[in-house]
Amino acid sequence: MELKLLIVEDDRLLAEAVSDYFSGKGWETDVVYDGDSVVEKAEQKSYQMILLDVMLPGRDGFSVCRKILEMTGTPVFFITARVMEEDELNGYAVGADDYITKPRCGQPHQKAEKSACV
Amino acid sequence: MKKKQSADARKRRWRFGGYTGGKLRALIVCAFAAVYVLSMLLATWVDQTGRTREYNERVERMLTFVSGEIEKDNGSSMERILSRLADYYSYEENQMVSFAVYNADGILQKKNGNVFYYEYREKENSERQAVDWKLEDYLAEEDIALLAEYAASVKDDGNPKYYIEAEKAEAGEELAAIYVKRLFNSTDERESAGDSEYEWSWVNPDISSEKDESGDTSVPAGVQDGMIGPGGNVVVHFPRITQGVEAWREWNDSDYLQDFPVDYQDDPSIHRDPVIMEDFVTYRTSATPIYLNERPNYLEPEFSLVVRSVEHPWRAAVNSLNRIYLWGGILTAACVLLVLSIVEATFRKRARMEEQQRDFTNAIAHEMKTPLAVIRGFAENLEENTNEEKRKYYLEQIIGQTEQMDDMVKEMVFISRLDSGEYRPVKEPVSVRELIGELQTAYDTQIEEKQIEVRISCGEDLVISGDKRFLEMAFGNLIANAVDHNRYEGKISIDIEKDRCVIENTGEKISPADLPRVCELFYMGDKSRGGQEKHLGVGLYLADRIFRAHRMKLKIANTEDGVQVTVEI
Repeated sequence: MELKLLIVEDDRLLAEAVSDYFSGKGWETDVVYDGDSVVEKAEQKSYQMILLDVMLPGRDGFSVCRKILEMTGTPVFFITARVMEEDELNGYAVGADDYITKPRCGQPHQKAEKSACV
Repeated sequence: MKKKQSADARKRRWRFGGYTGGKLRALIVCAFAAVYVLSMLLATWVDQTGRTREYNERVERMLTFVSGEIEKDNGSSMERILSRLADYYSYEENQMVSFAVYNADGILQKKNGNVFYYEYREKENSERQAVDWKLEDYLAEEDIALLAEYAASVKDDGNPKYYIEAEKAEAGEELAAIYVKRLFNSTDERESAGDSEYEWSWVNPDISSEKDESGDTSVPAGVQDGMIGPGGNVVVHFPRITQGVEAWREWNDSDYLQDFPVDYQDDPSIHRDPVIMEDFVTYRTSATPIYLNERPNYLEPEFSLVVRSVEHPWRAAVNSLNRIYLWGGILTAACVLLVLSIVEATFRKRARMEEQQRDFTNAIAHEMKTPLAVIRGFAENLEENTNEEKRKYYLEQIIGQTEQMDDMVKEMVFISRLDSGEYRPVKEPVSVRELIGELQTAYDTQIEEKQIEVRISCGEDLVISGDKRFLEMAFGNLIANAVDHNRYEGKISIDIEKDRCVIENTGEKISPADLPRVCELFYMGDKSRGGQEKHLGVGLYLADRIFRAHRMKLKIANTEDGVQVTVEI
């Protein structure tokens, strides 16, 4: 079964880089660029994992995460440039599976693989 | 969330009274309070020192006066001493003391009180005689108080309103009658008043009982008969009355000023220094009059004088400095507030700078991390992907991102130069029309992508004397915002006039709360306002700073359809 990944990142190039990386590893990837369309997208399709940025146009990543977990229970990985400890704690508090600070692509992939296998 | 946190921190700071630490504030308040208290104490001490000296001088003067008078008289008798003291006491400034006279054996001879002092000669050329009529022996308390009020009453011109007269009984030395007469300004006034010139009278019932039988009390007994007894000088004494009835009442109610001991058992000559008693000060001194042709015997003083000041020097000083205390307190409080506000402003400025510095560092870290993440992502893809075309694309992106980071570093350096005040724009004429044209071309891709309609109207060209590179950056930021925050199929209209350039878009409006702050460094406002690109909150700050460096103003306002940005000279 092909694993499906939703990438939520407003920086198009970064979204592309991550998307290409995961595609290369055999994942099926979808990309959205703002916080408002994530929930809609997650409702339409079932994903094995969602990679979520914190600072997004529209709804911010934390509230998006809370909403997704309420609705679908899909594992959410934060991937963000915010390095403050309180942000990380907040990420875990809203129910994220992991909080990864940029710049990393391989790391979320390894974690995603592990998570998807489980 | 960060905004919320900083708002919480601000609330917390205000709850505890601003940025200045509680200890520092307490220290400032305490220091000023200490300075205030010490300076007021010093002022009071200086004032009371002067008063003490004045009281001492007063006692010395009193003593000199009495001794001198007795010497002139070439004879010493206790009556004479008392007579001189009565004279002395009639001066207003001397009424600040209450006195008692003791003879050489330390027995109380006389103390000042409510009295008629009567001095007379039995026959012509005979020796003068004197008598004290203590009012307490004859009158009830209310009558004494009434008499004191008459004695204190003055006319508008300051002269006494009444004259108080006393009569001596024909036989013996008893007080026969007291009359209070109105004093008139002219003879006519007196004549028209008639008998009503008598305002109040008292007749000694023990002496004048026969005359009272008529029952007519309006005309005092003895008036028609003239003075009873031999003529003489009558002086009425109400202590402190010249300072008003209230001052007299204060004296009248004070046991301290009236109750002198009947005798001093110890040697009065050893008590030359003032003795502090309760609220007042007692001065005790003794002297021997210097008689002509006689050597004074200082070892055996003939009388001693005990003087009690009606005011304690400290209390008098405190009373007189009331206003100084008040104004000093107000001034000190004002100084405290001023210093606290200056310190608070300094601390606030420092806190703001620190916060700005922290935000600056965080924002740089954040902005650097995104292109770094892109570079790393593409580098990882480069490593994994074998497709040559893709690999070339990844390399191009990596180079593009490093260039973007380089630009960003330059921007930061520029901001730091702007902040340090080092930046001075190069002066060259820059045509805004040309500049906008160039920028429009640069943003063609995004404009086409969003299908935005751009309309440029130019009357007389706006020519700015300045640095083209930086003006390009400033206008570039405005155009970037106009494109980025615009809606799909929106409009951008640019009007260039001789003294202004107005850029309007059809994007979402800026909230009224954000509007005054949009030009602050790193102020991002509400992210939900849209825009496909991430904004660091640097663009408008930079534009504003650059325009200000060129003596131009940047104004941002909401319009019906979107946002209007005006740059004007």
